[in-house]
Amino acid sequence: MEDVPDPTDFPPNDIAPGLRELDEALRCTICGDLFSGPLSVACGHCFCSLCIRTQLNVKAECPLCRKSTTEFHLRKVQSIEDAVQAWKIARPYILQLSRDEVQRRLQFAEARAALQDVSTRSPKKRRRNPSLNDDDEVIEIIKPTSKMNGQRSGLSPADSSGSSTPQSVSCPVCQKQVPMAKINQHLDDGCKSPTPIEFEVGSSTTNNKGKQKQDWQKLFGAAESSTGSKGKGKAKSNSKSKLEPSATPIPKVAYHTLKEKRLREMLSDHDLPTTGDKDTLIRRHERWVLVYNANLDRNPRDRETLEELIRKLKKWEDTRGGKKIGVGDVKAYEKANKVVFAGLIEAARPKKPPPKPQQDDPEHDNIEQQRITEATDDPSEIQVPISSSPGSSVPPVTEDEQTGMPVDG
Amino acid sequence: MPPRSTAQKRLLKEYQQLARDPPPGIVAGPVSEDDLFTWECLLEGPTDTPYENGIFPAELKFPQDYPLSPPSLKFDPPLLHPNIYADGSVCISILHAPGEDPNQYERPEERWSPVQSIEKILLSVMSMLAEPNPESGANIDACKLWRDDREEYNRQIRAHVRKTLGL
Repeated sequence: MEDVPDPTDFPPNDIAPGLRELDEALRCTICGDLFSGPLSVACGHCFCSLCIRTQLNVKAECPLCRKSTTEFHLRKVQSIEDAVQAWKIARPYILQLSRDEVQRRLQFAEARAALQDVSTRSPKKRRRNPSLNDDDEVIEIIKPTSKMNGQRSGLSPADSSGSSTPQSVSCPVCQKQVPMAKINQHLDDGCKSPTPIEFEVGSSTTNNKGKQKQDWQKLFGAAESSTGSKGKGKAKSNSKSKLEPSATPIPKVAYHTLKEKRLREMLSDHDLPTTGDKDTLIRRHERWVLVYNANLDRNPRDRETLEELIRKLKKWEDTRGGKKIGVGDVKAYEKANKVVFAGLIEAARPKKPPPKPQQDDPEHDNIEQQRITEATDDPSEIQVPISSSPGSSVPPVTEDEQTGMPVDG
Repeated sequence: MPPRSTAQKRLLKEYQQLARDPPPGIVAGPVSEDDLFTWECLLEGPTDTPYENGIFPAELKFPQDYPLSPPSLKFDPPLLHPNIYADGSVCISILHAPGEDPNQYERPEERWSPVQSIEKILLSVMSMLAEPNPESGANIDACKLWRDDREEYNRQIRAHVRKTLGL
């Protein structure tokens, strides 16, 4: 199974106090990733823009404390976004430091065990603190294993202050002499070279570094010339809105009042495909509004291009958005399943509960019966008892959201 | 490997956390790396209940829009319990999305929310095993037995536990 970054990457609190909590605090509780375009809701809880906007379409409450909140309460949290930005850079570095610390403790414990084996002087054994005085002794004893020696002199500041070459230490991995101030960087770079690298540019993994650079280039490119984004070649006329701070969110639309033709126009305004029936068009536009507005909640330099957004929209439609879980043409569905419904109504009519054990709850039966009999008057209600029946594998929220059907009769 | 969807990423994270820091009495993970949306779980019967000493396998199925919608949980083989349907499906409020309240008894704060987690679901199921909720009966026979003849109820469960353990 592949590795995904999460708070448990850091050592537990007894070794690295607060690091897990810090990492967790900067993550969205819905998607588990570091915040992307963090927004706060009325109660002050914070989520990724896309996560909370999607969730508010399902239910207008805070997912954490369930206090009611709406889209109007959403506020950008700039400080958190800045903190996430910095943490993305610092995280790999701190992760390495904390792992080194775990390693160091392990080796120290090993060394102490070795000391206890070799030494017959009992008072020394009880020393827990690697104070300067008995540090010398430790080194003397573990000298035979050169690897350990390297580790200790490389990673213990107390050690180097007492040793003869305070400015340079040998790398525990490649054994090269590296300036002490650069040792962590050297380790982070996988012992590639002892040449000094500027910390500010990207102290972290090459991945992160590349991304950072790209982001900067984009930012600088935009600052230098307004036509910068056209350099990509296939950039569309409105694709530079990515960097325009003045780009405005798309307002919400009351889809049910719109004609299909108008929907297609609205989609083509954003260069989106106009294929599919009305429901597909509505879902596509609804999702686009979410993705587009969420993108605007990010810092301009973190925003995705419209092409990327469109690609994401397509992927979403391919995986689940396009698939309609509920019933499209209610009348046709009603006709096709007439026999089934008749059977269900018949089964619900008798006073005694039906033989199936999972429908046996008397209270539940009453409600079910009531719903079904009501539903015969109104075709749109017919699917309700089916979709909300317990144990059903169909996720009903999606259906309710997508069909706009009333849930409770 | 194509980029993971939000649901897949979140499932991976939850799996990693459960593997690194497993809560007592719970083992859970995806059946295969290709299908993160189906998990197998093993739940230990809570002590001081008739389910004690039992190990109960269950299957978690996640929707594509997880964590927006909750997963479903099914014991296989089915377990005798007032809140478990005869086919093994578990009926507890944390697995019900807001808006869907089949029995109309649930308090909103107990329902599914995208910030809930697999760990919380399984812990809730464990406490449901220890304390059935007769208000939301899913298996009427188990409900009656639990209410009217607790000794027989306990005996049947212990027999089931012994049988599944091969004793």
